Amino acid sequence: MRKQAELLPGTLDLLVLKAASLGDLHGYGILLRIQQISGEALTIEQGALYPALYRLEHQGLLHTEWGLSDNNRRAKYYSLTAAGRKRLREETENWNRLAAAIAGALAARPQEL
Amino acid sequence: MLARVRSLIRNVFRRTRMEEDMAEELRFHLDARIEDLVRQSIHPAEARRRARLEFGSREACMERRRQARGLHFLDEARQDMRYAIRSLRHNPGFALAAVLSLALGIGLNTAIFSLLDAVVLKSLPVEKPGELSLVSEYPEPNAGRFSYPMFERFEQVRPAEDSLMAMSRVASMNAWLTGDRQPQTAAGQLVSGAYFSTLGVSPAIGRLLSGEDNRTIDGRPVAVISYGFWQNRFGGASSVLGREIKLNTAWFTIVGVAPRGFSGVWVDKPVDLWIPLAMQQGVHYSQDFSNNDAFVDRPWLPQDGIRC
Repeated sequence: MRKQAELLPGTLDLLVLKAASLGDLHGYGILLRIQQISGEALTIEQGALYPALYRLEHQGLLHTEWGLSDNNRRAKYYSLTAAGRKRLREETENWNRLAAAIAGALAARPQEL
Repeated sequence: MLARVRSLIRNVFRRTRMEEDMAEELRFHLDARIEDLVRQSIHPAEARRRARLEFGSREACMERRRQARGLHFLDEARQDMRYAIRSLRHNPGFALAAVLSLALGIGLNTAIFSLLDAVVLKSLPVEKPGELSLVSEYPEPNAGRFSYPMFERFEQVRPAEDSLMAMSRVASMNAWLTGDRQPQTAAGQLVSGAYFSTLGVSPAIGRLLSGEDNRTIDGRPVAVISYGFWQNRFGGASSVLGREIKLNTAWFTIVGVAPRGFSGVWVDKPVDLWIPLAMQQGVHYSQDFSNNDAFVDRPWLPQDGIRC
């Protein structure tokens, strides 16, 4: 089994927003989508996903609607609202800045100082 | 922020619906997961077990979701309430003390407010309460008491007629109606002729006192009664006009009723009857002795040939 990384605190919301931005999904679909786009490298604790979904909906970042799943069952579908898209953009920038800074810091060598 | 408030309101009012939705969503999730596992050729029973295990405690998940939606305060409030009722029941002495002190506190506040309202906040039910002034003289103890000569001097400089009046304290008097064997106590006040016109009140029925009623000593034994006294003692009948009433030792004719809500200028001492100052001796009213440069044991208005 491949080694899977633990999620950093606060990154679950970002991943959920990203997954939802790629198309309307139900909760389970979001879980699968995150695993898929992270190349199966990230595990999402299933019990933590739904609180995150509800938190984001409560903040007006996600819109929900009941629809039918592939196997014709009633399922709740999540999609990004305009505020959600804006938040995703901001959070992505923040993350990239942070990641670049940390990567740069970790790559430092004595002669460069 | 607005979205949050809206979501909270929706959640509070459609709580049962929300709970059902949550449960259905979780069911869907578990079923989908089981199907996926079965598709990976895992035995259905084992798939169900594993899906449950992966998901963790259902109830914990629901609870965390409720918290995420801002509903937890309702649950907590309900728990606190239940706990409070339980502990109060266990400890009735304490409960009684708590309830009593709350009741006392609230009652006291209400009482104080009623008093404040009557004394400070409500203005007199007269025409222009803001324009009234009480003339007083220092030092105590005779502040507010003036001799008749002093009052006459004031009258000479008053800006207009009906702008100055004098009144006695409110005194407890024995009142008999025709046919009464026993007198009843009534609060009487001796007033100068301009009393009602200065305050700017008009009668409910009949007429109020005027300068004419104070022209001669013991000349006009007439009285005006308050609206409350009229209702209580005469049942509000208009036949009250012209009726005789004996105050202490003198008979008076009732000529009018003051307007509803008006019972004199001191809220703590409501007046039942107003009579002319010139009737002071008739009712043996002696408490309101003169001062300044006048004799304290003489009637206020000069009489019997004595100019005080």
